[in-house]
Amino acid sequence: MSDKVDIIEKKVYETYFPVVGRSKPVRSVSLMIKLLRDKFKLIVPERIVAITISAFLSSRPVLYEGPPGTGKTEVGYAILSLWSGKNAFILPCSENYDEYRVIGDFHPLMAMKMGFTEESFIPRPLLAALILDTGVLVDEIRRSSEEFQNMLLDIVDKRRIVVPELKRIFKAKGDGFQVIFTSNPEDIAQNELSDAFLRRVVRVKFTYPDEDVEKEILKIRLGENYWKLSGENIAKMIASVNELRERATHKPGPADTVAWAQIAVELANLREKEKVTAEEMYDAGFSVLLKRIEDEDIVEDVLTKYFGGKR
Amino acid sequence: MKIIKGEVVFTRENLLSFLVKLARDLRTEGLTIGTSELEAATRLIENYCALLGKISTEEHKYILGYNELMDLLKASLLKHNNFEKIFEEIVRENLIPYSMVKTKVSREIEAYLKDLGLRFGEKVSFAKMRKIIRKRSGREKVFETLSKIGVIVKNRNHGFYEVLDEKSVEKLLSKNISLLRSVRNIEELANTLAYRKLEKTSISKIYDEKDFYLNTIETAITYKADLSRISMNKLVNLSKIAYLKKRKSLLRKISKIIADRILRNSGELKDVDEEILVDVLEKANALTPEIIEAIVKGKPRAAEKLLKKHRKVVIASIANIEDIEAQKIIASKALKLKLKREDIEALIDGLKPEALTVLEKCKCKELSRSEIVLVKAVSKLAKAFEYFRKAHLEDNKGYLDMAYGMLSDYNSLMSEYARISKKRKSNIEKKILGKAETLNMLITVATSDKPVLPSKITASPTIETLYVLKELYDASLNPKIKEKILSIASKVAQKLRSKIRSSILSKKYVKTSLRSSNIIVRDSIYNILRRKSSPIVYRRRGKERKVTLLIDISGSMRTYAENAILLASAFVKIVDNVLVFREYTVRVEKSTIRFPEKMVKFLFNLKFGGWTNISEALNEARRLRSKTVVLISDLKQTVLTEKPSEKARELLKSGAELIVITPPVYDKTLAQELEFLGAKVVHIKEAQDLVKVLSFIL
Ligand SMILES: Nc1ncnc2c1ncn2[C@@H]1O[C@H](COP(=O)(O)OP(=O)(O)OP(=O)(O)O)[C@@H](O)[C@H]1O
Ligand SMILES: [Mg+2]
Repeated sequence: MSDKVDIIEKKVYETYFPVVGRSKPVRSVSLMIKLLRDKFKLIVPERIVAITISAFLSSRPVLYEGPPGTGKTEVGYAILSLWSGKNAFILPCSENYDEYRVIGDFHPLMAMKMGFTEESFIPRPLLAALILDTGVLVDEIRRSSEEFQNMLLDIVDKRRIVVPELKRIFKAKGDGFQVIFTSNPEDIAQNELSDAFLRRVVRVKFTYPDEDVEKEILKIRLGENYWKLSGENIAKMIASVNELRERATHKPGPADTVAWAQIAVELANLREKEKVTAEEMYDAGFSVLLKRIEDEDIVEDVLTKYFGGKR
Repeated sequence: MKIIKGEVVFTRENLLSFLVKLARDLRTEGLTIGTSELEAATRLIENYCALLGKISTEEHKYILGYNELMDLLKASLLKHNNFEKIFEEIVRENLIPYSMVKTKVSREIEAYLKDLGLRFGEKVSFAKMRKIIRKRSGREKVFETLSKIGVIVKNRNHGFYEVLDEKSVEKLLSKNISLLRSVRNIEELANTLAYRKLEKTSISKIYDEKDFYLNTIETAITYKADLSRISMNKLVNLSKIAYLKKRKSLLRKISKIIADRILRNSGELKDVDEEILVDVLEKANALTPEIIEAIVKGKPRAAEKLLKKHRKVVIASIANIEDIEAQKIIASKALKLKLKREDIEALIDGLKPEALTVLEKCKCKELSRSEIVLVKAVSKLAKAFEYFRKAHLEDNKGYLDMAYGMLSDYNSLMSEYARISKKRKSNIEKKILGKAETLNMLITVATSDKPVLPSKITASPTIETLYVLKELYDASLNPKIKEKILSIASKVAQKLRSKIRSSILSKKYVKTSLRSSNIIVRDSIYNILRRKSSPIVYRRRGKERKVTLLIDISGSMRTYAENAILLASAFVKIVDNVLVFREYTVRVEKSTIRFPEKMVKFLFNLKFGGWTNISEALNEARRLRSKTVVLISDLKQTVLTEKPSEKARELLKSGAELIVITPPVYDKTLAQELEFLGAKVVHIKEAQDLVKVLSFIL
């Protein structure tokens, strides 16, 4: 490479830099936990943060596994961003995701005119992340094809991207380029991850939070509104979701608990009530927790048990 | 690696040799771990300790909580969650020596004994033990735990409890050493040991220690233990004891389990005492019509007791029972009672023609004279058929004479009937006459030398034509005639097949799905630049279908199954495999599907009915690695093994597509589970609809 301006890097900076931002990279676990809470409103256990950073320290990709709504996507994004000091990229996987969509493609008309040149090349997020030295969250990796997974691993392993048409190799510039994959192992409608894949990643399990932590999550997510919920209702709410996690087909995650509380508060506002009552808890609960028709009886049963007394 | 107060303390070298040994042990369990992974794990653990300051600086030692270390090892070395248990166990074994675990448990046992004020090796009379337990609340629990583990043993003959001496306790723990590791506390140890004892023990022992075993089963139910290894007979006796001991809620719980199991597989009732069974289910209010039907199916003799209070239900269930002998047993018990006209009518209606021999015993007080004569007559006719069959099966001419004897009895009774019967026939008469007609036809076919075939059979055949042919095939005894019927049937099958084929082909239409978003730009441009003739490259999804048909051949599925096999034969090219299943699964050879003669022979010799094992069928389907599996079934699993939904989950996980086609009556729960797992479930109204559904799939 000469020191004249690299066309592709220029393109990447023009297109992506505005969305990436910049702050000081974080390397300490305790600071990261604090920032996750203050900046991202996420309550993350030390275990998850520490294992993730330990893996990053030797540039190993991390796989977040766990049931829906346990914060995998948001936590992954936040940790990657704090780690590199720049906003991470998210690649939401789908079946026909391929290298052209994540590394780069050629503008058809320009390519027709000039062939495969740097001018006709359009860089995409994965290459941009490598060039900008920031993290990539590959969301729901099991939705992608095995070929795609292998391609990603190769890039993460060697920390470089090859674009044969341009006869170019892009190398990672620092340690900001890290990768987190997310996956929900209970979702069986998706592909299995290959052994080769699993051998290369550090696996971090996400589970439902303890009662106290879930309360914290509510507090931080609801802000002012938290105080519109009585302690009793919060306790009952957490008991209900935990019961549903045991019994229902759709198991509510903390994401559902948060949504439930938020809707209950809005309902109370609409009904011009000072505080959320059992009635709002019940109504909001039904609309948030009932995701599958076969759970109807169970959801009704649980909600009536905790919030049905006063109707 | 040293463990100090729950924390693991180690140097870099310790860690390396620990990991190497761990990898070796894991490999013997089939979990291979490469060197690069060990290196990565080492680095991860070191990074982690450095990051969190878990290093004691002067000695260069790392200090990690036991659970922290386990988490890190899992994060870097465990690949599949289903090996998690084994993985944990092997790590534990490498970290904590056996002796430590054992010491910990025996300390706890000592503490428990101390709580009761007992010493090792002590003997205590029943009365004194009762006093000890009553002295303080909470002691009962302690006592129960120790008895469950087997530290306190009841000596019934001599009337005392014995506390094991220290050596025997030690031995006991050594025997269960691997269990000691996997349980969380000694309560769990106690429950597991007691439950194992319950699994192994004899029924009479259960009666010796009633409370012990009742508590054991109650805990097992509460903790949702897997009860499938406890025999039905044991469960029935346990619920009887629960009743005797007036533990009503436990009685209800066990009865529910019994009822669920009977519904799934009534075959389990074979060795069960029907008196006790009916008693306890009655007491627990668990005798619903479905249960009653399942009971008489699995244990026809139970009908006698059930008939007393549930006469209507028992009689109504006869119609749903495939097995002729079972039908006869139930009917003969019913006929001993004073039946009302409507009961008799229902009974006759439900019985298969061949089972009508039981009517011989009909007391028939309620019937008119002509009805009585008719009942007698048809029972003779059925008997005649039975003898013809026996004569053929056992190749015994003696039976032939008896058969003809019965036939002449029948003829004379019928002429008497003709004399006394009125013009208006009662319902009972109509029913009997209908069945007699069938019997007559069966006998004619069975005895004639020439095939008696309905005319015009081959002109425009339907699947019903095949059914008639099959009945005839079954009834005829002469091998030559059987051949002849087969050859006619194969012609019929051929016609049916081409009919199906043309009707499906006319429905098919060509789909085009070439949209611009599916163009791979880069490859297409390559081709354009190289001036290839058809340059545009589309994203392709592996479209080639390899279909496996899984066909349920339990009794209720008969018409559907036959149609499906016919359909499969119309599409040999696309249908890769055809599996038929009952309690076991059979792969139908391709040539059977391809050649009508073979197919018809296969169809005619197919036995419908029996138990159903969907799990195994799904498992087989998975082994064949088809892209698409079509399951045609009412989803009623009756063999008790792994859950079908588990197997379906595995199948879907392997990447196959599962399509389920059900008749109008099917198991809703399983259907929903399958749908939830990602299967496509289609319900159809009648067998003919299969053509439509399958033509979309194939
Ligand atoms: N630890 C947490 N701290 C704060 N909020 C949380 C936490 N876990 C979950 N939430 C709530 O869940 C929401 C997001 O969950 P997210 O989508 O990241 O979960 P996920 O595990 O990726 O789920 P899915 O498997 O459905 O993609 C957040 O917006 C927040 O409301
Ligand atoms: Mg997500």
